Amino acid sequence: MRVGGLELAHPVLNASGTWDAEQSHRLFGEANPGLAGFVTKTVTPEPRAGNPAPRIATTASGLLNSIGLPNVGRTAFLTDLLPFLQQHVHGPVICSVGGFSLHDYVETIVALDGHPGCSAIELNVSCPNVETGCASIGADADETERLVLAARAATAKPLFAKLSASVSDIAEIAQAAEAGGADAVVCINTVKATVVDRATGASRFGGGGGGLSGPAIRPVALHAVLAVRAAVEIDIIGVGGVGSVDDALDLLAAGASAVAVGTALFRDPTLAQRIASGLSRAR
Amino acid sequence: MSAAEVAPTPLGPFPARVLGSDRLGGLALVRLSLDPRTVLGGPGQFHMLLNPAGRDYLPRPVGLIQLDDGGVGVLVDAASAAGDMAGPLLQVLGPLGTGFDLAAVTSATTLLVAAGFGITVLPAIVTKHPQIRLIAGFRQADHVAALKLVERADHDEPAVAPDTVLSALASALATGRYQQVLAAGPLGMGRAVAGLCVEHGVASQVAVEAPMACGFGACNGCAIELGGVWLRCCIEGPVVAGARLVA
Ligand SMILES: Cc1cc2nc3c(=O)[nH]c(=O)nc-3n(C[C@H](O)[C@H](O)[C@H](O)COP(=O)(O)OP(=O)(O)OC[C@H]3O[C@@H](n4cnc5c(N)ncnc54)[C@H](O)[C@@H]3O)c2cc1C
Ligand SMILES: Cc1cc2nc3c(=O)[nH]c(=O)nc-3n(C[C@H](O)[C@H](O)[C@H](O)COP(=O)(O)O)c2cc1C
Ligand code: FES
Repeated sequence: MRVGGLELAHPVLNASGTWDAEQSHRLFGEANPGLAGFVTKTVTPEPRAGNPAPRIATTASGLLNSIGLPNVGRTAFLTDLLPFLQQHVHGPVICSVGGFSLHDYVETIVALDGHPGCSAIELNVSCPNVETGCASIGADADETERLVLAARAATAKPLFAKLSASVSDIAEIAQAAEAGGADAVVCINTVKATVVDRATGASRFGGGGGGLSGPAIRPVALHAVLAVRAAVEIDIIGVGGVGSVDDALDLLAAGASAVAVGTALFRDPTLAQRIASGLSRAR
Repeated sequence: MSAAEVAPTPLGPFPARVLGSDRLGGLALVRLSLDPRTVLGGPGQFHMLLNPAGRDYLPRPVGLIQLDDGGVGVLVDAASAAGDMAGPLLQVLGPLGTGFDLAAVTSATTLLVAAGFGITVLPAIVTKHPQIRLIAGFRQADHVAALKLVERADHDEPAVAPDTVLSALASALATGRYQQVLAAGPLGMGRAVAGLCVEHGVASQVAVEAPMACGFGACNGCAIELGGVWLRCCIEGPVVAGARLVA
């Protein structure tokens, strides 16, 4: 099947930032077991340590995180991680790119465009856990279109835009991404949420802020996919609370061409395999 | 077969039935239908434990314990044993993380320090080295009953406040008898223990606790900063060289 210009063996990917291919290879013997490709953690121009601890809190129906995009930075990503992924990942490698200005994104995309290990680029314009860039770009249709246009000019590789539901109208942002030349939109990133310290009245997370993922946001993702389906022609990759074959079928029925599994992999790292084979039986 | 080709240990997740549970004060030792030969790792390694039908969506890290009767148990607080960990069918992933290097352990020269659930990493060491000296601390008096898990160790009256653990440790180190300390407990206690060991020129290995969402390096939720370097406790820990905690 083709999704957003990429050839996929089946419609199940991982959600960015929820699977570590190197650790998976070491522990489970495969970099991306059960997945049709691999979406990387968002890479930024410089290495980032991420937010101070605590970074996670569990809820009855999912996970709250304020991780803050820790990553090795562009240089190590290109020289160390990408060759590993090129060698060990089954299927395409989709590189998630983040930044704090248009320039940040474009520089990384130019570098990735020249690397044979990168099959496609996913623009993260929706991370709720950094103060500037990312989500503030993805909250504004004009800024989103400008960024996607610039990215489009910098690469011929398939280009995805990862959107947030924590905006007033996700369909409008998806239209902007399509107008800028994106091949697909990825809906949705985590939903802005937090835990509070009763003594101080502030967020309990070291980095403040926070994002909710898991079953709690499944209906939010479904709504986003329906709304975006009605607004754009390009493919949609549905993300948010996928934990079973039925969850994936719902997103596909709502108009997604593929799904990505995130938080549910923390609950069971063998889940992607079962969802993929369940889908092939169900469809 | 080269090191790179060594087959990975099967991690599961394995199903585990709850066979019963025994109260230990405010805690409970829950017995699980697991084969210790396949699931237990070395002391200091941990497992992710989930009740798929329970309160929490994600598993929690626990230290599985080999029981004297050959079975496998997990120590949780009594409320969890009656609620979220009551089963009937739990799911266990592991063993995960780094364990203690036990090569240089002797009863005469090694000192164990445990706080709270840190006690769960010690039974395997105590079984091999009875009469090894243990300093234990608990936040709550009704958790002290957990010492039953390490009754063959040589321990004082346990402390019910963390600073008392530290003063007992300082006195023990001052004797000059100990060459290494193995400690397990919350991060703050681990840092303090490691600091005292550095002051006394004694080597230490410390198993630290951090909140974990995955346990296998995927979420970055368990990262702690050690001397400007971030370390994922689930894969580069939980056991770390004490000197790194004070760098
Ligand atoms: C390496 C490592 C090893 C660890 N080993 C252990 C171990 O062996 N045993 C262990 O217990 N913890 C262990 N921990 C800590 C553990 O992972 C949890 O952090 C701890 O059990 C607290 O659980 P919680 O965060 O769910 O508690 P919270 O969500 O903060 O729960 C608060 C209280 O509610 C109680 N509660 C939970 N479920 C219910 C319910 N259904 N109904 C009523 N009350 C309920 C809890 O018992 C607790 O007292 C370890 C941590 C690490 C990092
Ligand atoms: C721990 C964690 C880290 C994440 N990191 C990233 C990231 O680096 N880039 C990104 O675009 N999304 C990131 N996400 C969002 C996920 O890719 C996904 O959009 C979101 O979690 C919803 O899917 P889920 O409910 O299946 O987890 C992260 C989510 C989690 C829980
Ligand atoms: S618990 Fe997920 S990376 Fe350590």
